[in-house]
Amino acid sequence: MPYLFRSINKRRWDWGAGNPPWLSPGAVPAAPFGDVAPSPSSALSLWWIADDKSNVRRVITALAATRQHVDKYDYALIEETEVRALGIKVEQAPDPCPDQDASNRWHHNLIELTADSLFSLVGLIKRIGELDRLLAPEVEELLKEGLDSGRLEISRVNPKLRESLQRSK
Amino acid sequence: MNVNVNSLIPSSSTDVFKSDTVVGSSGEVLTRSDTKLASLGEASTSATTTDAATQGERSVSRSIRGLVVALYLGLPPVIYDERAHASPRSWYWVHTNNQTAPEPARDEVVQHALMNALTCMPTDEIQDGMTLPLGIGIASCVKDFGELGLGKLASLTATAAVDAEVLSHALRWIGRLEDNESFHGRLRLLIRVLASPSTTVRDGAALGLVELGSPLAVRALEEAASNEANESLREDLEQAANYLSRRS
Repeated sequence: MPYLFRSINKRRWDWGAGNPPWLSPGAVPAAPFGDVAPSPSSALSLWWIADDKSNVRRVITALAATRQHVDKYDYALIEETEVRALGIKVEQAPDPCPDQDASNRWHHNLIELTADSLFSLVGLIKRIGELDRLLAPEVEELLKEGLDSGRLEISRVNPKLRESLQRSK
Repeated sequence: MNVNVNSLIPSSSTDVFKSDTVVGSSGEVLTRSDTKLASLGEASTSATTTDAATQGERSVSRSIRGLVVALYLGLPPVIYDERAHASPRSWYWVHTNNQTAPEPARDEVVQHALMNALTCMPTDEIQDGMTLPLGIGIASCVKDFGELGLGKLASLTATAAVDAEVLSHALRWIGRLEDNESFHGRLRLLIRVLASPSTTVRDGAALGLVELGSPLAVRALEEAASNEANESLREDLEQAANYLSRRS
């Protein structure tokens, strides 16, 4: 069963009964919506991930290469069929990226999103999403590998990140 | 005409010169009820004119100009002492007992610098991997204030004065800094903050410890994980402890 990948901040998804204390039972806090903020055209960027999750690290490498510095990487994996079952349209749409080949193959957008569909998506991620994290040193390793292997197009890697990676070699 | 320095100074209850004393050019206390003056030494521009009235007017004018310029520039004012017994006549540097802008204590300076660093980015722009300006500010605080700066940061993590997400990122920078001198201080800070009331801040401390890369933090992380009520954060704390264990 393939997945869809979305970058998140794990701490936004911690809510539950009595946490935070001000949250009414059954209510959804606003914080997780920060992780599914759509574009001005009501689209949301996601990445397609194979059943065996074999391309997760490559996607993380491509995304982490646009940052200013190395940091941990939090992400959510949601089964693609479950997203489609919400009635949300999914389309393949390559995006400019330091690993263009990865983007051409796996970048997707959720399109024509409404407030209701975002609410459903947040509920779905909370219910069945696999939330995971790569620690900063692991991300750094991936980035170095990506640069060494030539998979990352150096001119598209954030220049500040590039400098710090070169210094730490 | 001799000019009384005090006549130039307002005497309201908020008078910046109130209850001061006069110190002569040779250091002796001349006890002017309202002005405390520290000698700057003999003035090279002593008046030579014998016309007392003209001299007085000039002195008044000079003193007022001097005060205005000095206050505008934030400098201690300099006053020309025209008293009859002030011999030799000198320029004096005015110190006040009730200054409007007192010298801040070091503690306040550290707090101010730290708050500047922590608020240098709008909270809604704080994202993983995009906090370089915050990192520069934190690095500068650690370099300039050492343990005192780290102590202040630890205190801030126990309050709601700073957004938890900002603190989380600041703690990661604490772990990320390349500064051997402050290594143990940073390690102690991060371990201490594992007990913060905020899950986001506890997470930031754990991430900082991972970036610091010291196996000395493993036990503290394991302990924090075993005490953690938030299941998702508990997994993250265990992940951090496992990573550092594998490395050691």
